[in-house]
Amino acid sequence: MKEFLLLIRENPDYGTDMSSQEMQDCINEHIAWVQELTEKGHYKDANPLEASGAVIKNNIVTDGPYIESKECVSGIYFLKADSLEAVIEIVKGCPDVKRGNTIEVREIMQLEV
Amino acid sequence: MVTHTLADRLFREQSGIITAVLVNRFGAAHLDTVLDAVQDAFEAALRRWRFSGIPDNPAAWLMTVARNNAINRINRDKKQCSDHQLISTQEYVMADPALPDVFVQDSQLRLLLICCHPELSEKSRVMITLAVLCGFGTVEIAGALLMQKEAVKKSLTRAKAVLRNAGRLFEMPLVESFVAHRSTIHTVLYLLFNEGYKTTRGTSGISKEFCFEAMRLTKIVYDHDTGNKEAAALLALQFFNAARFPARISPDGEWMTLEEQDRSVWNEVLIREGFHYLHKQQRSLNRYYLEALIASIHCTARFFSETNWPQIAVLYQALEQLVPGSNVIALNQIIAESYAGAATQELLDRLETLRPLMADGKGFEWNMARAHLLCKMGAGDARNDALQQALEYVRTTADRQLVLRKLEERCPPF
Repeated sequence: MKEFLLLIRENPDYGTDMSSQEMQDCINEHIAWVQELTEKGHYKDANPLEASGAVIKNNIVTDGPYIESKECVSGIYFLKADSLEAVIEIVKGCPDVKRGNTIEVREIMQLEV
Repeated sequence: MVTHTLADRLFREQSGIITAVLVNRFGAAHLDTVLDAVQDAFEAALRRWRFSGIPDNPAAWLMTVARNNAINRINRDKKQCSDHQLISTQEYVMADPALPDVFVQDSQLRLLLICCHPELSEKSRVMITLAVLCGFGTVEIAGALLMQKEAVKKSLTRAKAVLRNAGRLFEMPLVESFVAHRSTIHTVLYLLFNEGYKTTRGTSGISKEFCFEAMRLTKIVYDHDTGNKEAAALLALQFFNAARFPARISPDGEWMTLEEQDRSVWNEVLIREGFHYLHKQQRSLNRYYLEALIASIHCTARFFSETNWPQIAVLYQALEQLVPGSNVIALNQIIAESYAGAATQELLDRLETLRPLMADGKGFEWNMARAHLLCKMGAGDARNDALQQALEYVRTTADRQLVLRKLEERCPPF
């Protein structure tokens, strides 16, 4: 199976205006999603990222293009799937997409022979 | 592999418990800080648990994160005003993340006492209890209390300022302050339940949660103070009312009156629990006892027509003497009498004297009672006029639907 990196982009203030019940529902949805991925053999890893970070370009360090555009990469999923098409179908079921967040999908290059 | 899901209400329940424990440790002066720290802990959980699953002991995880967060915040504030001693994380590390129940319960009682502060209005006490001890958000509180979100926010901010400045009042031993403020606590829990109860017909989910929270807190109060007859009666009343929840809304989402309810779906277990607490209370006269007795009569009637209305009417009369000047009780008594005997002009005249209820947010109930009396007296046209009037006071869609349904039905013959 091929491997894909999913980059979740969302508002860095995400969650500050949610009630505790909404937060809990959100976590439950994600866990159900991850559970499904695991059962079907697609899940490899996932991690949240801190909202603050840095972007370095030509020796200039900024807090990134994301803060200004009110979006940052908030987390990553590492999935296994047969093809990009297959992973796109999987991503459509991600609770983040349903909540209006952006997900970028990139295939990991397999360089070892 | 992630296999567990969060227990229902884990966050909300933990929010109240963590807040109580931390306020108990750091003092009411730091209430705001504690609330922010708890909120932060939840946000951290939201970010982390979404991706990496739930830790083995989510409650302990939340408690640790919230506590460290609170310590950091308090230290940051202290640094700004210099020479205060900083709190070390070590000093406040709880030896065992599973805190002894009695400590958690005492903390919640203490926080409940703080939320029942004498300088707050009854409504504020209910709101701050919901926010601080029950972990409800502003939007949820506004929805269930039929208030604007901004109004709730403002109220809570004001209430928190009062608590911050006057927290010392409750720094005496728990037992003493508890005895001194017991009846205020009961009132708040009674109102909290009623707020939930009266709007369950409008917003189903959350309001019912208010009632269950009121029951949970009343249980803590009762367990702390088992000779407390008022609390026993209050619990009995809450159980009897909660037992009827399943029948209050029809499968189509319509609000069912007591007369229309399908009694077979009333919860037997809760009714039995109600009687358990009713017997604990051994006939000491208080308003909760009388109300619980009335509720128990409803709960034991197999059919609406079997309801012992004369007994209920007598109990309302006793209640009127115990709580003089309550228009709501007077209104209920008129209804009870109309079922116990006949609807008469005398009852209609008595209802007329309760007109102030209309200005008091009870216009819906008043007009519905009027429609009921007129209907029983055979005055169909006047009854429909009263229903039209009631339409102007509806608060929820379910209220409106009920009136519209009544308008379509002709007055049943009595």
